[in-house]
Amino acid sequence: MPAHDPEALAAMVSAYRAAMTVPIQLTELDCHINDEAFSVEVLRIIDRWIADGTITMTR
Amino acid sequence: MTKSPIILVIGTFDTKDEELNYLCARIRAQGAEVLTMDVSVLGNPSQPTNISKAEVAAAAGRTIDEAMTAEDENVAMQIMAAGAAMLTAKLHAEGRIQGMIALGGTMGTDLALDCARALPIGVPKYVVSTIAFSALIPPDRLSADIQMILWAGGLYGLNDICKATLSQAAGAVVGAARAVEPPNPDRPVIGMMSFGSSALKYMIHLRQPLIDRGFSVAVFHGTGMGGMAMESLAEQGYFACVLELAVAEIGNLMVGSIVNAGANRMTSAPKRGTPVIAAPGFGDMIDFAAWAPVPERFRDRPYHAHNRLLASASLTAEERGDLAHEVARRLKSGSGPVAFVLPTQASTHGTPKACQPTIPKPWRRWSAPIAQQ
Repeated sequence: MPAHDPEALAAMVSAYRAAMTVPIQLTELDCHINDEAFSVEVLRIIDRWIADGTITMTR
Repeated sequence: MTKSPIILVIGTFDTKDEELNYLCARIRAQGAEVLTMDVSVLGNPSQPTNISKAEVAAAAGRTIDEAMTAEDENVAMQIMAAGAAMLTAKLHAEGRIQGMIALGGTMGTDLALDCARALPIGVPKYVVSTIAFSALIPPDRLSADIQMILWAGGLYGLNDICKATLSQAAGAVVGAARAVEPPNPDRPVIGMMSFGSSALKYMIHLRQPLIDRGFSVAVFHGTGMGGMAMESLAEQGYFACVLELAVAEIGNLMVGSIVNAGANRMTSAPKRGTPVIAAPGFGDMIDFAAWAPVPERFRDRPYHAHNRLLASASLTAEERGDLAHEVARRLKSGSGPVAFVLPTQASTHGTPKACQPTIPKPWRRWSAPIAQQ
């Protein structure tokens, strides 16, 4: 089957939505993984984790 | 680096005495010093080594007699491996060695892999092995920066072929000890999983902003060995945060592809408590060897040989769902914080080139028309 398959994509997104439950912190974005918006969200999480001490900035 | 680095030379000095002494002589000829460690069990070296087999067994909390009378050679070797690895770590931590080189057939290699794993990144670790690069080497026993050298024609005695290898190996380990720039111990490191930028762009978008925030950014290639290396470092708590943004190695593991990063992939950071941000990059395809027959179950699917080494095939909707659940299971296997970012537009990943009508702007939009194979 071709990789380009909107149904398969929808099914995959549903599966991730169903699988990534608490304690995983799930964020959905209406974008493509290659869009800058995706990376912006990753950085937003990192900044939050630096601020609250989840990420340790010293070794 | 010090002008005269001290190299730990590890081997079974009972059976490989001549070869190991040749290696030591070539190392000294480069202006380095040698500390020899005998990991043999049964016989004796022609001259005492700096670290005796008895001391190796003792480092494992055992005696050499226990090793000699062990039920089989496997048990005996594992006693010596435990002791050798412990001593390798200790000698380096005490500043007494600046690198290691081990010589081995299958026994010696099995032991050498443990010794190499005992040394941090940036400490030269050479394994000169009759089975280097073979499928007998399990990827998850390799240190992230191990250097392996194939040693052929040397099973019994020196000759021109194996001397050519051993002399190069001597030059390699000494050269490495002199040339190495070890990692900065103070900067927090982010480990990121990705594929090449023609497929996945987030590493380009993320790298500089992360550097600006004070991180060192190590991006690992998701073709099995990269994930293995990242996993081994995550297990040591090396990273401040791990970005598991591409999941193909889990898919590969699930379908039995050789392009996997070991059974524990994606569990070390959570178990260590290291924060993880994950995403479904490459969650729709698996990789396998392009030089082996296409696995049966993938023969009727879009398939693309990326080069002569690596080929990809698509996963079905159901398989992608299974992968999603397996990824979740691994991310939940520890207590570390995990965030998952799910891009709901055509995520990721790859439309195999065979399905694309033109030189692709690959993987940009699912809605781009493609030709059927």
